[in-house]
Amino acid sequence: MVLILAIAISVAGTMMSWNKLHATSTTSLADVTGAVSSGTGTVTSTITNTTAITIHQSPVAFGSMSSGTQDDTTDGTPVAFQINNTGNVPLNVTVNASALFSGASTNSSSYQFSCGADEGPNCPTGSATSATNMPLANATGLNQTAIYDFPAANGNDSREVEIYVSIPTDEPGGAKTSTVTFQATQI
Amino acid sequence: MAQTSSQQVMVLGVILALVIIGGTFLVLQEVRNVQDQFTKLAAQPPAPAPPRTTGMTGEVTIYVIAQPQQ
Repeated sequence: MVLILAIAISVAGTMMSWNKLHATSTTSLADVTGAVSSGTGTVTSTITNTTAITIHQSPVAFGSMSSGTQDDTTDGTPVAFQINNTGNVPLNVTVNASALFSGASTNSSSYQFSCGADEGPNCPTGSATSATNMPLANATGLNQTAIYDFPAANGNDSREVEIYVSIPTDEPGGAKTSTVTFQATQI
Repeated sequence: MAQTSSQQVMVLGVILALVIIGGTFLVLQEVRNVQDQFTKLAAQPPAPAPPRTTGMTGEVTIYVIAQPQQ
């Protein structure tokens, strides 16, 4: 009698387990992909686009300069901003900055920038290939494109942003600092 | 002798029934856990799109030598 009861419980338990497993495989697993359903299987994956840059050279330090003199980074002294596309998508990089000079004779060409080659070919059309006036407000609406279509591929993912300064003749002496904001946008 | 043997079979049967009931309960519990995990997995919202923009700042510094007044 007890044996029959044990067998009945065992069969009932097996049926319940089978029912639960069946329900799991037909409902909960419906959204899980990647399982092999025949001799061959297909695995799909999505690579997330990553937008990222790093600056390897900052600050750009011109050192001591007299009023009325000019200097730039195109000769490597001081070293220009070196921007690296560390993401995996092409980017457009724009730039703006806070004011560097305060002299009354300061004009828009006193502080300029341009795109410079580093790794890979020269900066493509659309980049600031010649000295361009620096937008002097930390407002993204005033951004100017510095590097256009900046690739992410290794060996071609580094560019320079050259800086040109022309000290106004009436610039007061002392330390001058400008914060340059680079904004990278996925193309 | 026959009664002793019958009692032993009965005790064994009860133990067997308890083991089967316990085992079935544990299996069901585990299946329910797995089912819950898959349900949660399927109900997860898709990952938010990564930001399309990023920014960094650098600095330009100069020390302007003071000019004597003319």
